Amino acid sequence: MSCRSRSAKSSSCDSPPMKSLTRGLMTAMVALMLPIRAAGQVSTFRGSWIGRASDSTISRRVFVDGLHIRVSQACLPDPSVAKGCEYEGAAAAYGSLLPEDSAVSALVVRYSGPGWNQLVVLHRPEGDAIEAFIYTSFSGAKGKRSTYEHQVLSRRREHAARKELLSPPPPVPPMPQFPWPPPRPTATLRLPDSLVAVPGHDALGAVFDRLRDALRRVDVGWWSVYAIGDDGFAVVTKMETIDADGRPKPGTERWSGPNDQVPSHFSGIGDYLKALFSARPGFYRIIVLAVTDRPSSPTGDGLSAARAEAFVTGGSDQLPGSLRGIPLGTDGRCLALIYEFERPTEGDSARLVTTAAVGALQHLTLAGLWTERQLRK
Amino acid sequence: MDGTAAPEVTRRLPLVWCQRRLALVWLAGAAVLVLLMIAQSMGNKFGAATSQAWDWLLPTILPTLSLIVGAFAATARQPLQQATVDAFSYRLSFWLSVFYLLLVAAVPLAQPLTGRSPLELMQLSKLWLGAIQGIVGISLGVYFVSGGRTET
Repeated sequence: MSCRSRSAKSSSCDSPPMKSLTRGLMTAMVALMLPIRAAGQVSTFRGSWIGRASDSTISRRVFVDGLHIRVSQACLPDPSVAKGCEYEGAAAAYGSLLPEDSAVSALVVRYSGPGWNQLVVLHRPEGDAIEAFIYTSFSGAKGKRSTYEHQVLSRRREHAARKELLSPPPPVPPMPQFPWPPPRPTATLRLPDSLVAVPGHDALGAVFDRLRDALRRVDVGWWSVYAIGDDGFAVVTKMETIDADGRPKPGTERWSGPNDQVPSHFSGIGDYLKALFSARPGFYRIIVLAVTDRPSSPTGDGLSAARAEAFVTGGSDQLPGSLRGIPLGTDGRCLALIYEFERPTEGDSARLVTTAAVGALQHLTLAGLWTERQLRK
Repeated sequence: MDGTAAPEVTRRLPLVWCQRRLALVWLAGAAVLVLLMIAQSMGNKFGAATSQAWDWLLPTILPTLSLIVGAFAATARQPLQQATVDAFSYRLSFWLSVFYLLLVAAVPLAQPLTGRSPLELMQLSKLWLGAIQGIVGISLGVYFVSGGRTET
């Protein structure tokens, strides 16, 4: 097999002289650049990049977020055995030797597994594409030859547009879908762009990570993730028991739904007599954090309490890799949809509250997700 | 068995006295239960399910109460009976009645402590209240239906 020139779409060099030559070329290329402090200068690399498969290179998706690089490709060491692995690592940024040029010239990331090692050099030439130089060595596999690939990767959206012209649309990811347009909520709020989702800039994975950090401040595993079409997602929280003013109930009572049997705590005989002779209304809510660039015009009669309760068990606990790399469109935003339910008495069933007594901002702050100051930015 | 216990076993009580004591227990117990339910209904404790709550209470007390009141009404214009009943039998009926009425009252009183909805607990209580109500009804029948023994 021959080693093609750099202008070719891809290359594979596996004969010993060529292997040493390509390794030398890569080493020289990296050596010709200087490591720089580049945390704020790698924005031109940022985003999701997709490279097509060819006769000598595998399909690959590269997601760059700052100096964090994640590569989705067939699994190593044997791509034919398992497809769909993700490898990630912190990249080193390299600049040009020219002192007047302070721009980042390349990002280099290395990751490895049992018996294999992969070095990826990302170079950003002019135009809306990046070049990837991938050198894979197999130290542990006997007879397995090291490979060198050169691949041109394009932005995900352009790639998708080209692909639509050439082939049928990709299948919808096998993930539960959140209904969109959404059922009519009790209250809604668009979160500040700077808080979780910067339109036209962030990938869905980065947005999800920020939402997950906020959710983890409250509790662990009290949410479920749904897809919105194939370019958005919604995080749906578990139904909370709240007071009429939106404050969550203390302790385990918070996570008891309208049908759960949780004995009430009485502070005294007066409290008991009040519970004995009068109705004890119950208030509940779920919060849907929807990240999408699709228009939102709530429809329908609203959500039933039973369906809302079931949401937390119907979705996924993670955003799949197929969605993580998708960039948020320029119209993208994070919408908080509050669905509040009221059960007038213990003998009644919970019903959606259509007129909000507590605003979405208060619901989000009282739930402990963000502070009022963060939400008012 | 010693000699002093024998008269106790054969001790007899006036039927009318027993009937009045049992009637008092049942009327007082029913009054408490009805007042409690009225207060809960007025406090909208049951919401839209108020009639279902009453549908639970009335069959638990009305059959026995009707029997007692009906027996008194039937004998009101008759001469006073001199019949007697066995003291142990009376005490058994009395305490069975008290036990049953306490079980009925425990349903609404304990509901706030259980976490169950009132109707759910009422439905559940039918399992044991129905069986005990049958036993209580049989024991009371001696006093209000058969008229007791004519022995004096």
